Amino acid sequence: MLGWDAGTDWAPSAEDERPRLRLQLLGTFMLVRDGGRVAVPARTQRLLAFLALNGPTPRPVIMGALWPNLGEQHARGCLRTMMWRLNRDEPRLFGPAGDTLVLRPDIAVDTHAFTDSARGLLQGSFSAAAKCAVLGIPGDLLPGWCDDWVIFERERLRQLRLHALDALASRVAADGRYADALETAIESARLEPLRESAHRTIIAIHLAENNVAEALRHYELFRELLGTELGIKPSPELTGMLSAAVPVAGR
Amino acid sequence: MAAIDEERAGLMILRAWMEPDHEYPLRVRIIRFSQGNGGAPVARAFVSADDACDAIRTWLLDLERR
Repeated sequence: MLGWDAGTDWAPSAEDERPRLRLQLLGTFMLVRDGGRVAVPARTQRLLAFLALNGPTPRPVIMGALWPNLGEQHARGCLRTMMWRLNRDEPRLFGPAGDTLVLRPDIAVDTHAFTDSARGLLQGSFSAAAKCAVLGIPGDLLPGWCDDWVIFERERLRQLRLHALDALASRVAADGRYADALETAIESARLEPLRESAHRTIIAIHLAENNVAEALRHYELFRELLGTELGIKPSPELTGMLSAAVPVAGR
Repeated sequence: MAAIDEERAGLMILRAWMEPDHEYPLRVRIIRFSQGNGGAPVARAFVSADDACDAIRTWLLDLERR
């Protein structure tokens, strides 16, 4: 991330009391300054969101992403207008560095914090804050936004969350905290129902709690899902878990 | 930078992973977004690379025909 240049007119002055800025992109778009929501027009939201997700970006790349259907000259004009409007309404949220635009570095972006937390979990750092960040996100990235760059990033974050939830569920189950592990594994299964790992964790937890009926019920649900969607059966390993717990001839 | 005809554009995301210890380990989930940039997503899943490629080919051919 490029640093602030004291020589530019968008660098904070000594007299400024630096506002606390927070940009939320998960669940909804929201810019918050000192605890109060800042109204940002829909058009200019896209530029802020793009810079928050992609970091410092050359203007031609921004133009191509935000206005893929326009010619270069037209797109450049649109970007210039958007920057003018944003600077008029909410000055110093971003700035130029040559032909690159960069978001103000002291804006706290929720997707950055989420990514850090998820990666921490995957590396074995199971802090309470990381767990909350991964479990308690308010929703998908910018729901309803259909831009390609949003869709790709939404998918990337979803995958990251999926893997982090799997890691968290395994760890919490190993600690014997079955209720928390179950909640986490169920959320993982909801994100991608065809991944067996989350279902395996759910069934293992039910069996650990001697809740064989629930384990069997979940296994049947997963078996039906695989049969309907893919025409296949669960793995021998998963089936073996149930067989060991409920030895029934003919399964 | 050429303009794109949104009526003849589409977006498809393909996610693939391997399930361990399974007779058919490949999983492919394909999510396609119709009508150019966005549109309601439609998801399908496959266990065969050939079936997944057939789905992609069908989608591309349909795009060509528009």
